[in-house]
Amino acid sequence: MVEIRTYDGDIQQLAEFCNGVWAQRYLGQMPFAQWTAEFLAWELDDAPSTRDMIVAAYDGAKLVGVLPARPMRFHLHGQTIDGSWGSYFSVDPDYENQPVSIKLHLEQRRRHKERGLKLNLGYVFTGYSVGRGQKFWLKQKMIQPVRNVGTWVRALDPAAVSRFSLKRLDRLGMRLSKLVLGPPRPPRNPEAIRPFAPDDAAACAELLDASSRRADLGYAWDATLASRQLGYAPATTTLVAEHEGQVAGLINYCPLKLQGRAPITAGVIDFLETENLPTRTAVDLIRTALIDMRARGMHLAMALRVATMPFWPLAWGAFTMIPAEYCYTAQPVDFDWPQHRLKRLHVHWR
Amino acid sequence: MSSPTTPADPATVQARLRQLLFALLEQGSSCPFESPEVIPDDVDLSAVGITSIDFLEFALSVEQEFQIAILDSIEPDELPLTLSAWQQQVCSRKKHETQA
Repeated sequence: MVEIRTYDGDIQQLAEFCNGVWAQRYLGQMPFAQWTAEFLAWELDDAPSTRDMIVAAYDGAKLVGVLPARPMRFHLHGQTIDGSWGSYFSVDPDYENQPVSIKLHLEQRRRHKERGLKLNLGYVFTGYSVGRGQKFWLKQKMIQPVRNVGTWVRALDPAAVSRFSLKRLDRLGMRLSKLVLGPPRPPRNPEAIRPFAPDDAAACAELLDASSRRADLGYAWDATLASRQLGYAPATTTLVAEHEGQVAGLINYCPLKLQGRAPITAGVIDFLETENLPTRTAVDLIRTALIDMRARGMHLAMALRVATMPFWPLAWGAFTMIPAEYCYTAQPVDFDWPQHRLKRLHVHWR
Repeated sequence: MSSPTTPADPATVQARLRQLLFALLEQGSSCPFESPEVIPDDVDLSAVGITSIDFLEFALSVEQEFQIAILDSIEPDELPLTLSAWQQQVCSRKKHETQA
């Protein structure tokens, strides 16, 4: 008999469980992420007050499913709303014939109601038909597709990315790009770029929150959230750029192991703020990050392709656009979801 | 299709649920039943070879067929796992709707 309750293991066990499930389901069929305990501790903010948002399914003492969510405050068309974002949904394939997924989903929804959280946001991977998320989430009436999103990608080691790719066309493209894509160029003015320091949190929160408010949907940033998102080293790295003596831009990225035909490590750019920077400094910011990623063994840089991700600095950094492979979804909970389309998102990819 | 405001007859609901389940099982590789009529009332849905996604499909098809919302308001522990439990759930919601 499967019991649904709050996850009671540690973060290391959670990472191992999720990685094991995804490998068992998708190895060789579609790419997927392999999370470290450090990464999940950063992501899920594993504090006692949020532990109940990691909903789990147990068969006796055996963990057979998990559906985590992280509480988050959002700006939605000028309103501020308490909600959450979710990812890492994993169910042991041996329990496929039991309604574990739906029970986890219902329990997570119940907990959202209990906590007064009005929204649960997340991604459904639609790039490969084998992905079960699209069959599970996108058919439900209570799930609203917000918009399809693609990515920006910049190979740092095209040969490794080619070995990783599961699609022949991607492998061919990556082999060809090897001929034209050199290593990232050095910044012209490296003095303007430096690592994030705890004292930068308030200024960075202002930058992030201003971008978020300009978007249709984004996180509500304060110094505490910025400090965690930007400063949780070594799970994440942040560089800031100064202009006229002020922190005026930032790039925040994290290493994430991806498994395809072969494993690679991606440098995932979560947030990039360049609005207040001269174009040259914005390009320098990206170049500095790319050089750092490459030096640390990352094979690929990627960023979500949303309207709030600056086009020109990424284009100058030799990023290319990949068609939409994700559907960003919202699950309103006792809340009227806006009928008009949300065009500008200021969110990160997971 | 059942009217949204008419209380449902349990036998009619049960028969329609059998048909919905049979239609779902027929899409799979091995349907254990020859016809909807032979599906027992107390059949455990997890024992007839359906996956968690099939289970969701079944729930959605029940919602559509009877024009009721179940998943939006049900507690995980109340999730029906047998055909007869689904029938009770449907009839109870239809009755509740009519009274409201």
